[in-house]
Amino acid sequence: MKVIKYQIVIMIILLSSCKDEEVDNLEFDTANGVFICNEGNFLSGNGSLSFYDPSQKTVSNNVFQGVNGFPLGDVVHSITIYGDKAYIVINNSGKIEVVNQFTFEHEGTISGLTSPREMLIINDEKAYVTDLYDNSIAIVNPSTYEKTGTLDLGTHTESIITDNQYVYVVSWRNNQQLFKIDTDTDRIVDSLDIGFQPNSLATDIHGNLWVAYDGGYQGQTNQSTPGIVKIDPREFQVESRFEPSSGSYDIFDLKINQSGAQLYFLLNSFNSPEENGVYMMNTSDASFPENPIISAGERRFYCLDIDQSNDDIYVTNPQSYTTDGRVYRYDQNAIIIDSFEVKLIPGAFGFQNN
Amino acid sequence: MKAVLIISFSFLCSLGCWSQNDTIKLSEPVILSAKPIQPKVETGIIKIDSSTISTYKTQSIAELLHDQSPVFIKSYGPGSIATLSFRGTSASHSKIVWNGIDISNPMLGQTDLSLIPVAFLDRVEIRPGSKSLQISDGAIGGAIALRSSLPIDDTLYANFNQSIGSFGMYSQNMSMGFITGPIKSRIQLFQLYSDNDFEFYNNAIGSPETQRQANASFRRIGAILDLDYQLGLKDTLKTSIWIQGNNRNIPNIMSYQGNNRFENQTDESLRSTLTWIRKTPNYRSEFVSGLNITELVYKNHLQTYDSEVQPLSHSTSTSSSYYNNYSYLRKLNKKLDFSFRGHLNYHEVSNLDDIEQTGYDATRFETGAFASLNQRWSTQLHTTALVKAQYVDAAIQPIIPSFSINWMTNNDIQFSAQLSRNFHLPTLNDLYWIPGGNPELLPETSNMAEIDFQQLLLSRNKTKIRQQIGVHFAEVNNWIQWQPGNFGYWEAQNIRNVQTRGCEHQLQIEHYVLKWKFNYTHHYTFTQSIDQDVMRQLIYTPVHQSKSFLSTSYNEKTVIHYSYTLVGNRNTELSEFQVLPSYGLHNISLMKMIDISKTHFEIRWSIRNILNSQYQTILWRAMPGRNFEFSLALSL
Repeated sequence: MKVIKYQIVIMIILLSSCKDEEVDNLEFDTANGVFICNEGNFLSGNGSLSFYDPSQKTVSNNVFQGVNGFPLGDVVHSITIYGDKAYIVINNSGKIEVVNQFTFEHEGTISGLTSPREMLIINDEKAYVTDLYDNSIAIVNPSTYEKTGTLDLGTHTESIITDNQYVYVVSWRNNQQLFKIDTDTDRIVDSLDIGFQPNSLATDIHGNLWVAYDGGYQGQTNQSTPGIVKIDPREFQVESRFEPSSGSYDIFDLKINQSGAQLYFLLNSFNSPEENGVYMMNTSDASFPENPIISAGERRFYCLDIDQSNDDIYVTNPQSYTTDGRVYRYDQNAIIIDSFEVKLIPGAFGFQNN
Repeated sequence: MKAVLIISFSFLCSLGCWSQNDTIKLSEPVILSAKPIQPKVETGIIKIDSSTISTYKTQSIAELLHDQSPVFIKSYGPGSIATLSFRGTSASHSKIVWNGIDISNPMLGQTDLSLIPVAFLDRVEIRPGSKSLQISDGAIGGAIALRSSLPIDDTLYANFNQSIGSFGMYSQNMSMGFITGPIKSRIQLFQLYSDNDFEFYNNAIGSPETQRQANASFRRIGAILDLDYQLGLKDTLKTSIWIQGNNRNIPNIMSYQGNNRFENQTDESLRSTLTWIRKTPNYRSEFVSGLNITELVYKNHLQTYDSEVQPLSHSTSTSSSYYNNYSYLRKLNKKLDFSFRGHLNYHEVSNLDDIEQTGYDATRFETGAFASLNQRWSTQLHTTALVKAQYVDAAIQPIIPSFSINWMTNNDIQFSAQLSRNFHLPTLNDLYWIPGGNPELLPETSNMAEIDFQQLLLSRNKTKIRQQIGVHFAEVNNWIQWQPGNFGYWEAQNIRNVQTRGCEHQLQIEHYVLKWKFNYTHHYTFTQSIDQDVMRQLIYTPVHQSKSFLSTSYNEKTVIHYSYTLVGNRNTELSEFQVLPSYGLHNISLMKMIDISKTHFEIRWSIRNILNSQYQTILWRAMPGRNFEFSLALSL
């Protein structure tokens, strides 16, 4: 990756509807940082983007609106970094805003989407965008910002990942399917029922696919025990299944470290909040982990990610959901490094060095 | 001189609203009749009389309260949902009482004010804070009392009004009534439609441009029958039956740039009250039996990538509420009054989303009573003690005490102070919505203190000046908030503690010059409603609000009205960044009355938002610019 160091000055421009401008001058390294997607409140249009410099331990909030003068939109759900661009998926505004990842300047908009969730870029001319409601994945050109086609799966889609041969995508809401897609033909080559409400995926050092599923909430039709499955991508069958021995849990945000040997995920207990936290599981383990490596305590962990450059663990706490959220940064030994405030409901990360 | 000082002070109080605002703004136009318009003010209670109400016949009560009261109306735009906030509390903390029954939806705990037509109302009374205790339960913010009241002097009458306006608006109102012997009767009908396709400047997207509002049309149609029967010298029987249907399309948020999406909501309601009133020199009793049946259907469809229309949500919510209220007021002796009120209510609700296959059914049984003693210690001093108890779904609720002291120095000055406690039950959605409802929720509780001062500053032949000042403080605990929880859905929690404090100032001036009459009313409110966890003003709660209304009439045949509403900055989140700037709206209307033979005609022109200001009451929800309305009414 091309390493470029920029010094930029950010003008924080407040809402343009007849409001005086406040100016904030910040200078920091924008080449080795971390983007935080702050969802905002649903239907309020107040999603935003924060930028964190791990070396300086400084954070700047509202960088998109500050540089470009208009808001991101309603529910900033995820971000994908590719080349010198960052693609910010705005779920309830039906679009993806594209910025230069180093200057934050707006470069284009992919509009006309339904309810986009995550974007996976295949190459310079093709990307897949999953959707919470549409039964198709949108195929877009990340260079021209145009929608070029669709891939019909007959159901909505959520998290998406590639092993550089195929693309794998889960259908989360009220569903239990994992799809395998050939990116040359844009067709489904296989599908598999893996567990109720699969929400996140990871691939390990051996190319195995791991999928977490939350099992659904109490009272939901088809509710089952949550867990994690290991899938051999060649056979495309569930090879192993790991579930907690008892209790009602939500398991989500499955990630893997840079070595591809350790899995991390968030667990929230419905009945025993002392079990809430970040869990770690070696890919060689034979059973579900019993205790968190980072306990949530009084916090509610909402989003987890791993910086692939150094295995730092990032986890968010939305706090009251109408105030600033907080991000906690731990090292790979679960020792706290830093903690900082971002904006409403931080829900996803994007790492410039990954 | 004294009057000049008072007027100057009143405007100075409004200056806080002018912070950081470089746009000239307008308020909603208010149409007045030729009769003098004077919202009557009792200590802390505001009564809007029928002559003022009649000028809003083509509008909803949201517009009436927005212009004529100190409450804050949170509106998502013309035709869209509008809710009420008293003193920084939420919409569910405010109750709407119609003819003695609480018509707030038991599932949501709130009422959409945009669906209540002013045409069906004759009396509106605003009771903030503890002033609501005697007419409603759970109104820790306050209550609005609405009544239908038949005229007493027209033996046979008919009125018809036709209006047309900007953005494809047209409406018709008709009423007919008669009095014969002991029977008074009136039927009223109305119909309102609007394309609501106003232009607005969209600066929420990368390439700002002027756009036309889409998918925002709405239609309302309704009828109300009122019937009074005088049973004798003491007893009156009243009944009202109100049916209404509403259909509105819901526009997207300004930042939306996705595929075609269509949201629509229909609301149908049937409300009815049967009231028996007995009045004697020593006591007054009133029994009200009522029902409120509503059905709300919400649909959300989108156009998929294949250009097919896919339903995302098709939710039907029905509620049936049955009320029985009895109140009794008796003069025990020359100095002591006793009042009692009991109620027995039953609610049955059902919700189902056909697409998600989720929903719930629930019932709620409520019974309770309050008793109060009003002691007149002298002609100047009296006190009132009140105790209220409720029993809801087999659980005894917290006791509600209240004590007030009222002191009148002379006929010109009145002073009152009140301490009270109140609570608000979780709504049925808070408890049982799937997913996210929480049956373990506790009631929200509020401790309140209020002081009100009213003074007739000047009373001469041609000039009257009256002012009222109120100061209030309340602490609300266990405030219920929905927030994202496990499994990707939201859930209800008792998590917030809020302190509200503020003051309200009202000034009324009536003046006559030759054949001209001038009426001026000004409301100013200062409200601090602070979340105790983060020590910030709650969202969408302005600290400052100022509302001015000036009406002039010549010879009771020509009326000009001007109003100006100024709303201060509002937080949109509990942090420093997102603040909606203050806005002001200027409105004007001209009305001419002509009598030809026995027919009375009223011609009215209105301009709202005269200066075409661009503003938002809710973040990224477009609001219309300058717009016009023309009405022709005739009365027989």
